[in-house]
Amino acid sequence: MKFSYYIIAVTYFMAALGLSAISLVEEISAPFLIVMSSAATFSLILNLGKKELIRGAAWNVLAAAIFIFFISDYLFISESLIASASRFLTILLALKLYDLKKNRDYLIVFLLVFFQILASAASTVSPVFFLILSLFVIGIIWAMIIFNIKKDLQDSAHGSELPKMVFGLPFFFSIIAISAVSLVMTFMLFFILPRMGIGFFERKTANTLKVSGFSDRVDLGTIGPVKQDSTIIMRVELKGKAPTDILYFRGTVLDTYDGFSWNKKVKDNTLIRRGYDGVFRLTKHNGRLLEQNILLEPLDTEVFFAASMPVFVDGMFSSIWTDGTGSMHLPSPPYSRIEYKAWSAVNAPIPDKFVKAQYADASYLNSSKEGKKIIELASDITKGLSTDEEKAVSIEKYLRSNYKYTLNPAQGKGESPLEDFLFYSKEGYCEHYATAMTIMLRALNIPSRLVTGFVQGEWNSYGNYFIIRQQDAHSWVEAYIDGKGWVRFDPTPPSGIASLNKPMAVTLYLDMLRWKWNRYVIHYSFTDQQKLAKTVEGRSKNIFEKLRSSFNIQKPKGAQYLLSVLAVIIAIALTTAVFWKLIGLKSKKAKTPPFYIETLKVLKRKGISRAPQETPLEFALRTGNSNVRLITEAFHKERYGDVELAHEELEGVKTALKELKKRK
Amino acid sequence: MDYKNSYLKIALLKDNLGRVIKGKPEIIELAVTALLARGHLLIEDVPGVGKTTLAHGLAKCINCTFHRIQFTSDLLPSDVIGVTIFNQAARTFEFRPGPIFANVVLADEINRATPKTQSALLEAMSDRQVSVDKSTYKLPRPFMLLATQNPLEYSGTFPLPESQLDRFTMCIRMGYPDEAHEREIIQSTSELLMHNLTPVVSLEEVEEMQELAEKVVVEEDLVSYILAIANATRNHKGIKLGVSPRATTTLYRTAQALAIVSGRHYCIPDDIKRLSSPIFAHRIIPMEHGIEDFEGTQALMEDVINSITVPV
Repeated sequence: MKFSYYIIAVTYFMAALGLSAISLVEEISAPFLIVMSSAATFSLILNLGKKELIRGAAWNVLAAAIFIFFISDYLFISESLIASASRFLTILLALKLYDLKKNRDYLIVFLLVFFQILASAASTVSPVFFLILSLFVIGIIWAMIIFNIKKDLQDSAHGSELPKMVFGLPFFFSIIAISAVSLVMTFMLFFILPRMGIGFFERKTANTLKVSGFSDRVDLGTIGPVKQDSTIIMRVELKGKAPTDILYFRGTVLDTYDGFSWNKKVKDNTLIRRGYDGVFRLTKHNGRLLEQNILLEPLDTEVFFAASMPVFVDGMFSSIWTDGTGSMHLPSPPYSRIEYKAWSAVNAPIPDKFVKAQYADASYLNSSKEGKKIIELASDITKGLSTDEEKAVSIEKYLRSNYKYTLNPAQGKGESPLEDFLFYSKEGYCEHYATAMTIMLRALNIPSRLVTGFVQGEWNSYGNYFIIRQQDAHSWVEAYIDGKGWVRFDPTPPSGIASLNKPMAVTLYLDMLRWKWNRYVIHYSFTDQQKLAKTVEGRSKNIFEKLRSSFNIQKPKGAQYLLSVLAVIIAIALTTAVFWKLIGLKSKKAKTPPFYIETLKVLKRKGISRAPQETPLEFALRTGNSNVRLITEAFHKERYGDVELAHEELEGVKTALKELKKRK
Repeated sequence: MDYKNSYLKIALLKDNLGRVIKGKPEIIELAVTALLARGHLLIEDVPGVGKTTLAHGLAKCINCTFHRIQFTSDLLPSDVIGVTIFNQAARTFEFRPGPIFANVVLADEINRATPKTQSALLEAMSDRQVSVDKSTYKLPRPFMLLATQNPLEYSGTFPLPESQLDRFTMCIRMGYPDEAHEREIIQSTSELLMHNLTPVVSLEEVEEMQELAEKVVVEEDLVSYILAIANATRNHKGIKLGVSPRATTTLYRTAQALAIVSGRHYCIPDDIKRLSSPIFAHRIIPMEHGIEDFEGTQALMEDVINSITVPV
């Protein structure tokens, strides 16, 4: 393979990395990428054909034009630095591939790829980025080594042919080994270097997820469409295994129904500040709490979630708000992912001293046609029962067993969706069930309300967390039971709660990687560093304990400690010595000009070798060869005189070396 | 003056000297090297091989003052460095410079003088000044001392102490000329030759060349080479006393001068290898008695040099 093809291969590998890094930037559209990739591919064909592609001056003019485009893109079109810079870099890269002449041009390509990776790093949280970065590290080391060899070859008398070893497998393996070492070092630095609590460049995601059901007014039938959307809303990590009871993540509580939509009227928002123990206390509760670690995607609502009923919350918020119903919200919708911890009392009723009028408001029943029918139905179901709780349970049971769960309920002849559901189609989804139960309870003068939120999604056992998606959106009922508080009832049949499709193990595993990446790389913090240090300390202590017990060593602790310290010192000293030796050998080698090494090799093949005590001049005189004499003089100049040989001198050395090779 | 110019001057100088000292180009080269390294020369040989001629010839070639001091056992320090006498007319003490006040001084048969007189040369050689009665007098520049001694005749001599030997840059031997050259010497009229010797280098030029020599590049590895040789003399089994740091410094400076003499502005290993014997041999003390002579120490140095790896 010729040297130039080798360089082109490396360069296009890097360019491909740059393009794939840019593809991670969300604002960059697919057609743009396709155009740029095909432009790059076309340039490859031309480059292999060795044609003059773009003249230097033309390239400069084009680059200036692209720069102007970039400025206007930034100021007027996309108004986003990352998007416009990504476009700018990509166009520049594609163009530069048409102007590969000098070494400098190749280096510019690598630089552009580096900036593309930077742009991609600023805008993506995808773990694929890590793969691209690793390949980039390997590629850049590879390219730099090749370029160094090329430069050395051009400077020395060898001509520009690449030595054969560069194409061998050992060469690749050593490059990968070097890259691996540097990656490991980077990783170590990443985890060890102390970091700030807040990044310098807080990432702002423009595309927050749209969720429905958490505003002050919710139309009946809004949850249905999202039940097929598998976009992930949040991940909830638990300590240990999944609990046996289904977890409900409360969002908003709705109190007033007008026949078509639910409204929220209760709004006693209370500001909750961080307590002395550093967490936000929402309510008082004695008993077991479930600890959750929640990673919430950016949503377009300020409501945030925790398993019902949250008692403590801890996160990077300055303050949180809660309303009279026990739902939580932030001062403003978060524009980036937020991570927080919550401790919840699962299944505990939500305490409330006063029941607001709206919760028992049966005005809808009186004013509508079906009001009477509903009251009749409710009293039919609860005939003979005395307590509110018994009545609620029986309605829940009735709805669960007599109605069919479907996401596409048939249109009945009823005047409202609720009438359709209860008396005609008798099919619907969670919203219908929950609305029906709430209204029926109100018909019986039992205060009740509709709650929207999420149920637990699929359990990822690889990372011990729930994946909660749009399709896990749910609504249920809370009824006020005297002496207890607000108790949760869920009239939806279990088939409506279970996830629609079971994900494959691979999907779960990949999601786990994504979760860990986010947890340990994107959100890696100083606290985590302290935790890591503590874990390492604990683990090492454990290992020492185990070693001690397995060898049954009962020596005094001091000696043991001294021994281990000694071992560490010896290990460090050995490593340093090896490195020193390697570095020492390298620097010595580098001093001798390659043409002299070559000469010595040629002479050795002819049976004449230099004794170590012999000076080069003595050796040259011993060979009695005028060519050797000439080469030795040039060698003296370069090696001891620190003189860079002139071109004619180098040519002279080259011819002398050729002559030397020729003779016998 | 650059090194190319000085190479021409030195070639002229060597050529000129070659007219009076026939068949000894290496000796001439070493003498010139010692001159450029601001050194002094100890010539150890039997009488009549041209030691004096070398000193005289060198002085004539660079057009400078030349004094010859014949060392005998009754020579006093004041006979060498000068004396302070009372001037009746001016009613003051006046210093009368001795024969040491010259650019080139030949101390003939230096080992015949008493140690007291020998040591009078110490300050002159190392500091290029003499102190008489609390006053210090600078010697002319450049200053070079050539001393001779007879290696065979030891009766009534005072062998030079180590401290004195250490101050001589090199110790060389003239050796007999080969037959052809000796024939030439016999047939020529040496006095006339010496008389006809014309100066080719000025004193200023010598000083410039000395300054140039100090700027010669010595690669780091070559310094290591010097140190390796010095260390080997210190650790050699057959050597009781190795060379001093003054000796290694001298080797460094002299190698620089030899590079100039060879027309280079940088040292090569050969400069060091070639000079290490003349510079180090007379400074080491062998373990065994009896090989303290020139050949014995030379052989030891050869042994040392041939054990050191040359940096390539």
